[in-house]
Amino acid sequence: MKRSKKNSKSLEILNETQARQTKRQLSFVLKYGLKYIILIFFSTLTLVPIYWVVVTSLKTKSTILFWPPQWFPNPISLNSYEEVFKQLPIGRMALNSVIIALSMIVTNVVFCSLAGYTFARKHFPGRDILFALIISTMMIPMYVRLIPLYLLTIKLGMQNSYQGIILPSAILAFGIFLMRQYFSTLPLEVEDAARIDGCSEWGVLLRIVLPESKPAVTSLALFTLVWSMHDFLWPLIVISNTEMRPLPVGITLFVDLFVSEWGPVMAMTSILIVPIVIIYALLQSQFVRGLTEGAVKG
Amino acid sequence: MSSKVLQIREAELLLVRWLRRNSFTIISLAPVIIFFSIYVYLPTLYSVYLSLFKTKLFTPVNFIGFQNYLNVLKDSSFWGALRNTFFFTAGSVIGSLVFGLVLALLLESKMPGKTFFSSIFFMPYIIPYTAFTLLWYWILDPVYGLINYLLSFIGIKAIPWFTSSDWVIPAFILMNIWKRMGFAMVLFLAGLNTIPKELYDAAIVDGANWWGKFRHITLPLLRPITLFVMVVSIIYNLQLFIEPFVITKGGPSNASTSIVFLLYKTAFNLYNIGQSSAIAVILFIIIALFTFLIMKRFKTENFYE
Repeated sequence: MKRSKKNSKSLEILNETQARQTKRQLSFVLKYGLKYIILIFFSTLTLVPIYWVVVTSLKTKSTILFWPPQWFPNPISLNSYEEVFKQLPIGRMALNSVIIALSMIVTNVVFCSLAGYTFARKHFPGRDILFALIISTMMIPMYVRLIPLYLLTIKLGMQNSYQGIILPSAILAFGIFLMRQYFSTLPLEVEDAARIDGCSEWGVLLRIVLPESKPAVTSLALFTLVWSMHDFLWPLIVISNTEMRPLPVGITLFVDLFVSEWGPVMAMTSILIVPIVIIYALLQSQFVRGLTEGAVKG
Repeated sequence: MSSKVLQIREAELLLVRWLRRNSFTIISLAPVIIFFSIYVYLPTLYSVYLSLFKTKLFTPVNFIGFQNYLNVLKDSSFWGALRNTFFFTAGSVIGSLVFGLVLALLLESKMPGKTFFSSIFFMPYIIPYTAFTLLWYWILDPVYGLINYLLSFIGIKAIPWFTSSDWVIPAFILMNIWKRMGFAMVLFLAGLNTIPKELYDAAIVDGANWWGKFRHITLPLLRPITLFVMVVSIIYNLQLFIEPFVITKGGPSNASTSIVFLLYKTAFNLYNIGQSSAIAVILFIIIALFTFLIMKRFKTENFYE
């Protein structure tokens, strides 16, 4: 009698712990399930617009206007792309964009690394003030100095040229900031050892510091790439010749050319979005670092 | 005579030695100093200079003091543009910060798929601005647009996004929340990483619930990063231009004319460079003011922590 009572009590305890466990499991599943549902919902909201652009570019003139709209293009048609390539020098404009982006990347990597290294390692009077003067220019919007820059570019005879577009973004204050922040996290000992061994400053920077700084250089390059693709008003006013326009500016011309012809416009948009999304997918962690660094450490 | 020559030689030698010793510093900084003088500081000052002149095409003619500023401030279209820009900035900054924080909190713990989701949310941020603008131009099309189609499922009638003066700014806000919430999320995630886990453990011992932990630990410790995201986003959003330029041309009936759009129109359609420069300087003052006020809060708050 006594024994069975004891037994049933222990059973009860067992049951209770079991119940508690399943309850905990249930709330765990519920919590994570809910989290994932919300995350998937937001991801869908983020991705559907991009998907929609690509899908629209593959529809025909008539299927674009179907109601309800088709989620999968049927038939798949490349007419919009043909039209775009017929009407505009897409290849040339893409080449312009590549040349502009690459030049900006080169100038920024070279000059921001040099200046960033000096700001991180050298001591001289007025260094911090000079650094502050450069960094604070991030607060001056391009639009504030737009007209003087335009007059300067005309005076230098650089309208309708690559230099005209590139020069105002040849050295970005953010780049100097990014490189300095990164260099100052590197250990001093290796550099000092190299200096004792008779290595010049140039040698230290080129042979020791820069090879250690691949992540920062990649981040800076990607930041500059995104910057060059976002630039709009400057290339718009400096370039008046269609052949010289970079791709992002070129597609806005297209809108006026094809009033409410969504197929070709979306084909243009896809031509611009798809390559950069692919580069992003391959290098996303560096992208995120490049575009947000400084905020975290600064 | 000869001693003087010697002195000069000595000075020359000293200079050469100094130059040689500091050659690296000089060579590394000279391009930057020259560049920022010519391409940033001088143009900014020249904008201020131009704003004080009556101009003919691109040349200043008569000094007229603050007349350009008075003309701008008397112009009702400037106040309209200011109102539109502020409305847009408020909506899109608050929206992207709130959604960015929600996404960061959802992704905070170590969970499978964290990098996958965060890189999806960040993706709109890297899409070139004009492509982004055309993308939404199509998706918010009142007749054939995807958004109005989706809204019809929950019984909302077609919204005339870009053709109605009431809806055009909310449409821009919606677009920009989509583009920038991932940026805010990444910064918030970095901020959440810096909060020591012991604080939460202590709070659990004290019997705090989720909301208590959020209110008394997460939010206060995220304040510096929040203010940073705010400054960056405000500076950025106050420069609204491409959306009205490409989609609405400032309309309907000036409802989407922003400060920068007005600046552009005054300079390149009306060729009134003086007045356009005055608008540019006013924009700069507004941005400097916002930055200063927020930074000041940031400093006093840091003081207490």
